[in-house]
Amino acid sequence: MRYVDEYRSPDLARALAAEIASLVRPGELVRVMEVCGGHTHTIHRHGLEDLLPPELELVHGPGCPVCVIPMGRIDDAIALAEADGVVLATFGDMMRVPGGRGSLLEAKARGADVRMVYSPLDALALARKEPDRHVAFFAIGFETTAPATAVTLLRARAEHVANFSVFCNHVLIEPPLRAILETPGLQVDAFIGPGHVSTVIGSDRYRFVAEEYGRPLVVTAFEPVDMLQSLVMLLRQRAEGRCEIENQYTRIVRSEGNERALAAIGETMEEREDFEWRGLGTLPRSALRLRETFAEWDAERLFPLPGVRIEDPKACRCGEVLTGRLRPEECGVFGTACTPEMPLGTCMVSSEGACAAVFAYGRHRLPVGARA
Amino acid sequence: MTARVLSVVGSDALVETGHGTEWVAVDLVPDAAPGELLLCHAALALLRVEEDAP
Repeated sequence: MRYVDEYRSPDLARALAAEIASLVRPGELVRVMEVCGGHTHTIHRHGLEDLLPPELELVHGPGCPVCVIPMGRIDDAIALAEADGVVLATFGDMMRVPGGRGSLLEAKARGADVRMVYSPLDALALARKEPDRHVAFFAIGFETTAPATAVTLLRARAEHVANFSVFCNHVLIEPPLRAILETPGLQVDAFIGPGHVSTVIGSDRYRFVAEEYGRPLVVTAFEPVDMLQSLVMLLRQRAEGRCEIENQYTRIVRSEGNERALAAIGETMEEREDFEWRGLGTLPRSALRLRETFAEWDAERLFPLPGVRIEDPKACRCGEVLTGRLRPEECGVFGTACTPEMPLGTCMVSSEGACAAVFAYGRHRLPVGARA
Repeated sequence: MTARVLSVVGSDALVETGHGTEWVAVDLVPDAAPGELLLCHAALALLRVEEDAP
């Protein structure tokens, strides 16, 4: 298949792995954080760590949109689902994320009308089909997914669909990156930048990473050869004493981003003053809410929601996993009390979650050195 | 995911993915035409993929 097969070539991967090995200096440790959960999935699915020299360590970051939603927002969604006449529509992964009162799937088992959709546009179609119900879409995701919500809102307004609303939890990539970069004792030398988010915001938006924090970043696509090529680009920068923002995903990502998608987001949403992130605490201007002009489609204005902050279970260490301070298999409940079937934390729910990716591909079961 | 446009009806397009066909909204790519390759996410076409891109 075009744009897939050529980026999974074993010969190309081996050649890039050899170049990576030639670019690291014996005895040093270079830690590279992949920001996006899609990259985490690729690393484990294709066993990329087995191709890398011991001097290069990959660290998982906060870019799984399901993983960063705090428990309090899940409880808000459950309250919404339990409101009279409401159908709560959301992505499949969100149905299994545990909140303080269980998950949406458990709420559904208790009688709430919770339905899985593939897109906010499906939720809007549901509202058209069931005019006697109110369909609220539980929207999550970074700038990649926000355009779909924005277009859905624009269509809802154009078609005067009154029985539809959005519970907006869209988040922005820059604030968590800054939070990680400002972590005392940060042990990340370089970043593999998000690919899909960058198709919307563009590669120029990461210039602060190099200019203010002195770390290189390469915007990267999602196939194994893409990721190995980005590691070569990062290590070449290091070898040549450069610190820049580069774009490996040139077949899709433009430096200026996607003007139409950004305009749709800007017309329908605005930055919140702050937003709570799992593992990172409350970050200023790090998420989106609906604009006043879309108040009649804003679930947060239409329904009373608890809005309570809930601490994660003490045993759950998702926060440390999301910020690269702990590897999934180092968590005490990984694969025992916390599994994809019965997750304690968000990182074990979504396929983009670091814990779920490690668990799904069984990399944790193999001793280090025997994983190739 | 990338998907090939099969037909366009109003603001929606029927596209072929690696797993079959599905409908996506083309509000952000209003001039999408059959045969073109689109980058899609959550049933929305985000942009047209220039197939000669490096």
